[in-house]
Amino acid sequence: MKKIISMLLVVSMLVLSLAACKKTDDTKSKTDTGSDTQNQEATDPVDDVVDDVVEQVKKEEGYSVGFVTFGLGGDFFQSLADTFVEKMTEAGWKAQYADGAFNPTTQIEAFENFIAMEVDVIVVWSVAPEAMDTVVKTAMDKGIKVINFVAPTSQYDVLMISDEEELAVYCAKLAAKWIDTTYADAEDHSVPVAVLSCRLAETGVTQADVLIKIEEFSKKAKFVTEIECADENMDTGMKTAENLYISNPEIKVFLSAHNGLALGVNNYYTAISSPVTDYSDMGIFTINGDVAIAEIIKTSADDKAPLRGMVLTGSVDDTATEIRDMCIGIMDGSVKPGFIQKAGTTFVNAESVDEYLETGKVTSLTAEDFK
Amino acid sequence: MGIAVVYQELIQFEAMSVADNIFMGLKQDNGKIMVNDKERCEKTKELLKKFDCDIPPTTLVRDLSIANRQIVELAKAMVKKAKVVIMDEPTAAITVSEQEKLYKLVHKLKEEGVTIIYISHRLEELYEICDRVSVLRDGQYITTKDLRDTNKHDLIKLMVGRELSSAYPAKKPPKDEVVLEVNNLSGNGVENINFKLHKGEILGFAGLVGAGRTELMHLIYGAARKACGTIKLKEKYLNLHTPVDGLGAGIGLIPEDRKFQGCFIDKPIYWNVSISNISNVSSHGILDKKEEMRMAEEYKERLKIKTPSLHQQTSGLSGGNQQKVVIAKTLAANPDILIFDEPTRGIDIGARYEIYLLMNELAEQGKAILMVSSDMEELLGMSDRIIVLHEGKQAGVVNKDEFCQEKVLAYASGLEERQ
Amino acid sequence: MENRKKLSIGELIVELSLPILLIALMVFFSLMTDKFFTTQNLTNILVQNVHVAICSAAVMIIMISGGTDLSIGYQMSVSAVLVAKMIGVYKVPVAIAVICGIVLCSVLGTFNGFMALKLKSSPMIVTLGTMAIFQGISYLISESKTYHNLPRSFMYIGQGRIFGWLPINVLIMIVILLIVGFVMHKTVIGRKVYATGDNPEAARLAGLNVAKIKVLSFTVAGILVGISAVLLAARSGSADSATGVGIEFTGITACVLSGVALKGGEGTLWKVIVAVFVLGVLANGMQLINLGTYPQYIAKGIIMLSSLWLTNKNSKAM
Repeated sequence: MKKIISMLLVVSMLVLSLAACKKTDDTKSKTDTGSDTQNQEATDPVDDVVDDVVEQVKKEEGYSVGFVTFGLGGDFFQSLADTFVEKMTEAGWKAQYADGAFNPTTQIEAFENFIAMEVDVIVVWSVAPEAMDTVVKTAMDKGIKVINFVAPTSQYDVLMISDEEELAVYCAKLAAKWIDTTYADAEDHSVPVAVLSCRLAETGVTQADVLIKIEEFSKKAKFVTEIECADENMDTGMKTAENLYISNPEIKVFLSAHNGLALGVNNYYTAISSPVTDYSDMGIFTINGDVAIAEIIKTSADDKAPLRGMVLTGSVDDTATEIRDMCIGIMDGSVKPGFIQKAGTTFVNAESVDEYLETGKVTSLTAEDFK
Repeated sequence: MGIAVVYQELIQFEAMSVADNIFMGLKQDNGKIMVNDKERCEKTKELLKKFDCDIPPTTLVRDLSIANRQIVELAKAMVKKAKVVIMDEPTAAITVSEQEKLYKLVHKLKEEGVTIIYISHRLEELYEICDRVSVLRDGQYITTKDLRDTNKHDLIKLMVGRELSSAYPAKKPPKDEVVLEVNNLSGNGVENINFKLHKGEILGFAGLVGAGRTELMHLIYGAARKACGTIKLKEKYLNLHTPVDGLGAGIGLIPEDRKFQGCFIDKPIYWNVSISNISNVSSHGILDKKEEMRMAEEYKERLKIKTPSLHQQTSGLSGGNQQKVVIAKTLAANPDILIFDEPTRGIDIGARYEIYLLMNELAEQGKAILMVSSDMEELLGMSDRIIVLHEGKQAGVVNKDEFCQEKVLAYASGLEERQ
Repeated sequence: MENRKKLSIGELIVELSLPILLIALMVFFSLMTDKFFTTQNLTNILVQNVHVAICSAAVMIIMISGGTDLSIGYQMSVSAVLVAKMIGVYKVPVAIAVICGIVLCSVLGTFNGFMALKLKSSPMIVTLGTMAIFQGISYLISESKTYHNLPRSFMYIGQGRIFGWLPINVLIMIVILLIVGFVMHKTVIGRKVYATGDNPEAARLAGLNVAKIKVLSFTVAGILVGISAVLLAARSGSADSATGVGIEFTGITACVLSGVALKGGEGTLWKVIVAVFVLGVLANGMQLINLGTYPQYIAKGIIMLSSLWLTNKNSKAM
C-alpha cells in the first residue's frame, strides 16, 4: 500500500514539474518575440501592442530593481545595501536587496527569485562569477537588465568594476608615501615590513601578491615576511601580531588587504600590555575599512595608534549613487549595454581623514598624488 | 563452518524481514546481483513449516516476539546446514507455553541429526531435552555426566561446590501490618489494580510477557505517571511524579534490565553503590571519598560481591555480582519497600541463592518486597502470595496454601477470572 | 580497605599521552627556534588561549551531561557585542555591562537546554536552530558595526598584568578552571552530571532529576561562555559580530582529543585543558617557524589523529 502511494506521489510530482517547465518555455518564447526590437516584426501584431502598453504602464509606475549582495556581514556591505535601496526609492523606483551570504548557491537562489518577481534590473555582486552565468543569461533573455558590481560574469548589461589589484597598488603607494617621508634619512631598503594575508578567496590572493612587492613602491621599505592567516578576524590579527613580535620584533610596518586583520594588529600594539608605547615609527595600512578604522586613523595623526591609512573604492554613499545612476541609465537608454564603469579610489590617511569622516568623500587626496 | 549460534541477546537485522534475515549473506544466491524475493519467501515458508510456524516470511523481525525470533534463528541454522547448534539460555525470556514449543523444536532438530549444545541454568529443562550435561563453575570445567545417572541434587552440588539443602531458603511468615495499599490503580498500560502489601511479606507478581507487571512497578515507584487510583504508604497518600518522589517516599526499585536500567555499566562499583544516596557520602555538597569507599566496602561484605577491587568497572563483573551491585545501590538509599523486577534472570545458581537469602533477610528486618518474576519455581518458592496479571488487568490472587503451577498459569493466560 | 588500581607502564603512557604530546611539541619548537621558549612567547600562548580554555570547559560540561551545543560561538558573539555596545556607546559602567553580558549568556544557554527538553530533541539539533537565532540577535545589536573605543578600565581585564608579568585574564582563567574542575570531580552535583550523561535512564531510575541536571549544565556552560566573551572582548579591545564565532568546534575538538565521550558520562577537565594547549602550542609554534597555512592544517590533522589513536586505544566503550 505504502509503495503504491509513494509511486503515485512521485509520478504526480514529475508530471507537475514537467508542466511547469513547459509553461516557463512558453513565457520565455513570448518575451523573446516581445523584446526583440532590433530583429524582424513579431508574429502577432496584437502581442506587440499589448507589450507596448505594458511598457508604458511600467514607466508610469516606476521601475523595480533587485540587489543581490555579496553578503551582509560587515558595516560596508550592510550600509551599501541600505543606502542603495534608499537612493533608488528616492528616485521613484521599487527596490530591495537579498543577502548573498558570501555563498554562490544562496546568490543564485536570490537571483532566481528576483527573476520570478519580474524586476526590471538586477544588480549583482557575485561571489563566484562563473557560477552566475546561467542565471544571468536567463534574466537577460527575459529582458531583465543585469548590472555586475565588482565581479564580472560572462554576459552583462553594465559592469561596474573596481580593480582589486589596483586597490592593492594604491594601498602600497599610500604606505610607501608614509614610509619614505617618515624614514627619509634611513638607508635604502632598511624599514622592515610584514604583510598579513588571507589567501582563501581570489581577491585576497591578488591583493596579497601586490602588497608583498612593497619594495617596488618604496625605496626605504624592506619586505621581511608574509603571514598567511586562516581567516580575516580581528582576533586572528591580534594573535598573529603577538607571535610576530616574538619572531620578528623589528617589524615597523604592517600591510593587510583585510581590515579585520589590520584592526587586530592595531589592537595588539595599543593594548595595555603592549611591548610598544611609542608608535611614531610604526604604520599599519589596509583596504576597505569602516568608520571604526577611520576613527582610529584620525588618532594616528597624534601617534596615538599605528593604524595610519586605508584605501577604499569610494564611500558607501558614492558607490550607491553610482549604482543608482547605472540603473537609471540602462533603463532610459543613456547607458548602452556592455558599458564598463571604473570606480575611483578614496585615500584615507591622517591628512584626509577629517574630510572623510565629515563628508564621506576625499577630494584632497586623489590618485593623481600617487603617480 | 557448520556451527550456528543462537545467542541469548539475539543478534538480528531488526528492520529486515524474516526471509532476508534467514538468507542474509549466504552463498545460496550463487553470485546473482538481484535478490530473488519470491524464491526466498518460498524457501522460508518451507523451512518455517518444519518448525510448525506460520509467520509470513515478509514480517519484519522487530515485530516478532522473542520466541518467534528464536525460531527464525533456528531456521537460519538449518539453512546453513549447521551440524552443531549452540543455544545460550534460549528460554530465559519466553513464556512457558513458548518454552514447550521450543523443546519440541529441539527434539526435531535432534531427529534431523543436528548436535545441540544447550546452555541453561534451569535444571528441569536439561532433564527435558538433554542427554548429557557438562558443568562449569567459576570459569573452570568440572565434569561431564549422563543425565540418566544424575539427579538435580547432585547437579546443584557440582554447580555450587557445596551442599544446598533446598533451592529456596525457608522464610518467616509476614506480619499483619499493612505498609502499602494500592486501590483502583490505572495507568501506563495497567488497569484497576488492587492489593495490600504487608510488613515482612514477599508479594510475587506473575504473568505472561507483556502482562504489565513491570509497568505496574514503575507506577508504584514513580517512574511512570498514574492515570487514576491511589497508592497509600503507611497512612500517607502518595503523589508520585518521578522516581525522585518514589525514592523519597522510601520505595526502591531493582529494574528488570540490570545492565542498562540498573547500573552505570562502565563506571566503578563504588560509584554505582553510592549514586542513589549520594548526599549520604558527602558533606555540604562535596564528596567524601573515604565515606564512599567505606559504604561500598560495607555492601561488598554484606552482599558478598566477588570483585578484586571496588574500582573495578561494573561491566567486568558476572551477572550475579552486577545484580548485587544494583541491589546495593538501592539498599543504600534505605527504602522500606523494595521492588525486585526479575531478580535472578541470567544469574548462576550460587548467586541466586545468595539473593534469595538476602530477600528473606530483608523481609525479616521488616521491609516489604514486591517481586516480579517469570520463573515459576522462583515465584512459588519465594513468595508469600502471588498476584497474577493478564493483559494489564489483575486476573487473580493465589495464597500460599493454594500454590500450584497450573493455577498461576491459568490466571496468567486469562482462562480464569477471579479476584 | 580497597586496592588502588595500579597502572602498568603501558597504561600509564596512554593515560598521560596528551601531556607527553604537549611536552614533545614544546621541545620540538624550542629546537626549531630559540624564540619559542621565552617568557614572552609562553605568556602569549597562555593569553591567546584563555577564551578557548574556558569555552572548552563549557563544552566539556555539556558533553558530559550527554548533549552538544553548536551555538556557543554565537553566544559569545551576542555577549561580546552587547557588552562592547553598552560600554562603548551607552557608557554603562563596566561592572554592570560585564554582569549583563554574563547573565545574557546564561539565559541563552538555559534557553538551549530548555528547548532540548521541551522539544524532546537532541541538543545538537536544537542548537543548530538556536545558533541562527543568536546570530540574528547579534547582528541586530551590533548593526554590523565594530565597537572599539572601549575604556581602559575594561581593557584592563583582558590586557592588564599583575606582578609585572602575570596577565589578569590568565589568572581569571586559572581560578575558573580550578572551580570547574573541583565541582565536576569532587562534588555531588558533578557526580550527578556524569551519571546523567552516562545513562540517563539508569540515572532517572536511581532517583536523579535528569531534566533539571541537563538544563543546569547548559546554564552553567552559558555562564562560562559569557565570562569567556568578556575576556576576549577585553583582550581585543574591540568586538563585532564575528567575535567568538566557530569556537565551539575548537572546544569540541579539544574535548574529543582528550577522551570526552560524545555520548556523555566521561571526561576529565585537566585533560581537556592540556588538549587546548596542545592545539594552542601547535598554532603558535607553526607561525614562529613560518610554516604556511596549509601545511599547518595538515600537521594539525595528523597530530589530532595520532592523539585520538593514543587516547582511545584503551577505551572500553565508545
